[in-house]
Amino acid sequence: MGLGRALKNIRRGKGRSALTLCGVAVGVFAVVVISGIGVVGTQQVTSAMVTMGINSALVEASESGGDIVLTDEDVAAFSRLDGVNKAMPLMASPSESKLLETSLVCYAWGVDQDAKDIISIEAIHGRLINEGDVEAHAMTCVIDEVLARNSYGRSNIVGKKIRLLLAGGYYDFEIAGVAKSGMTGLQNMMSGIIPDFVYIPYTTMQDISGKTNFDKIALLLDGDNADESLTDDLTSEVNQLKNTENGLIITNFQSQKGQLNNILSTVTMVLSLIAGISLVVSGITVMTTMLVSVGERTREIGIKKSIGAENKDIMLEFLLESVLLTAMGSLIGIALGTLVCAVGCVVLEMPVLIPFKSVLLSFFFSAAMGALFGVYPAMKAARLNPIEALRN
Amino acid sequence: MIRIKELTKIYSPSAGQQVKALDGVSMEVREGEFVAIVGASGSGKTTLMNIIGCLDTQTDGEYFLDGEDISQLSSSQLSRIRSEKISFIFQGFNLIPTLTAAENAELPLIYRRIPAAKRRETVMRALEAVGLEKRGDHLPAELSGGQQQRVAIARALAADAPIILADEPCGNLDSRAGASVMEMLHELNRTGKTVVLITHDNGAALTAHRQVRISDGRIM
Ligand SMILES: Nc1ncnc2c1ncn2[C@@H]1O[C@H](COP(=O)(O)OP(=O)(O)O)[C@@H](O)[C@H]1O
Ligand SMILES: [Mg+2]
Repeated sequence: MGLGRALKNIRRGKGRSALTLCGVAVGVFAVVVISGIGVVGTQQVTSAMVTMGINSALVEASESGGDIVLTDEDVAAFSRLDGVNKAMPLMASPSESKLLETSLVCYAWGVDQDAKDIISIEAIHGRLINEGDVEAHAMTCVIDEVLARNSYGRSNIVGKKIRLLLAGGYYDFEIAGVAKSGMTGLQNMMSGIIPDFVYIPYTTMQDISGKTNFDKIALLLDGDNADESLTDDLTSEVNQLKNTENGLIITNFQSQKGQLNNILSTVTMVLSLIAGISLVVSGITVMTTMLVSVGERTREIGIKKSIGAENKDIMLEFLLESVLLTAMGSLIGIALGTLVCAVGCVVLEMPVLIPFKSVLLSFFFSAAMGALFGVYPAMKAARLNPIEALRN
Repeated sequence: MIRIKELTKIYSPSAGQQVKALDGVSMEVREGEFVAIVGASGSGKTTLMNIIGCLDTQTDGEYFLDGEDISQLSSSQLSRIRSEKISFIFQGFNLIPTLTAAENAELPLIYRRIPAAKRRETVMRALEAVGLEKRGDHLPAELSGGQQQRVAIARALAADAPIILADEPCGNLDSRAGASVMEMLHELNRTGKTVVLITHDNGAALTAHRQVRISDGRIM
């Protein structure tokens, strides 16, 4: 009954109520969309982090340690360190690939059979480099899906030949597998400058480049303990093993992940704050609406008091109305906001994520706002002197 | 039931300005009485009714309602007394324009926290008693003045308070509608309600058991 009457009174204020509803809806809409962007962004980054191997780390010579060489013994030694599950030699070389008539700049990596775990590449067709390839110094490779699409127009080109420019000469490789493009651990470490990767056995790479050592050693860290302090410990341990001061550095994503998450949550927070301010503004609109409504209904309040309404009855009546007003506005805002989030995710081909926490939060926040900004008008109504109200 | 002694009411519409609306009024109304308070416009009738109806409080003097000193009560206690003991019938009807006749009549019961089923039944009977059972879902604007005043009477009937305070209830009505309203007030009185009728119409006043004449805030 109370709710019905409140709704009726809201409808009575037609234009004014509609504008107020709009104001609240826009505020809530902004909050939902902005936190939607935040949630989706964070999720994208996190999932990228996971696919690129959040637990992997890369040991390489620092600028000061240019002449340090990494060998098979180092791989074995590093793999025995506390907190390290696996170690893998890694060779790197800028390259050019030729597939059919298409020449593309790419980056060639010499890896072993552990690449899947350590730098988290994944074969979508065929297979990855295996132990046999490494032992046989095979002329096989795994290429990025993008390379396949750019040349053949399809992704499954397992068994085709690819010509790679390595150490100044062209070499023909057989494509053993096609890997998912983007956001592998290595691509992340290359800061995304070089887009397409080709993976070959590191032994083959050594043969071609005439090297017997490695450029880098990739480590798979123990997932539970992989944090920044582990990275620091490992850095001093590998330097000790190689008898250098700062000759080796370890790069991993722990610190990057933390930083990125910090930036993301700060940006989201600042944006949400701005959106929150718009909610406060709409709260003030609610107050104005309610004050006008109290003014218009002074006589009605007088009548109600004359027939026995207590101050708290009048108070509750107006409070209910302002809470209902904001609740309806925020429901509209939430509906539109989630719709925009969902459509945005679909258009951008991302998994649809609704920021439920913000949706709930902004709903209750705006309802609380309705109550808060409704209190003054409601008190004003409740405290009206009945005879003065009746004379109105 | 109503006992008033040396009641004074001074309005201060603005600082330094004072209007003495009631000046030492003493009167009594017994349970079941039909009393008319008669006086010219501006003589203080409405002021007196507002105090009797617990809508306002006196500046000086005593007012006891059923032995209770009204000047000592809080605003929520006054609301409760209005809710339980008093029904007003105003010259301007004072119906809520957005509520239907039935909803208007129902309002006092809502504030008394009467359950919905009981309310509906009571309102139906009240509207029947004033001959408006077919107009329950009409808004006040869709009713004539006489019908609106009958809705106000139905509201008083539904509230079933022992005291009816009617301030110029026929003031805005033609003589036929006015007569029918007067008849209903008498009917209410016959069922045991105490009725205080405020009027400047001598003819109407003469139908009451007793007349109290007021002039310039004093009882004559
Ligand atoms: N709120 C008020 N402020 C100032 N003066 C008032 C107020 N209400 C009534 N009065 C004055 O008190 C006197 C009595 O008014 P009222 O009781 O309304 O008379 P009646 O109902 O007999 O016409 C009048 O002079 C009126 O102007
Ligand atoms: Mg008057």
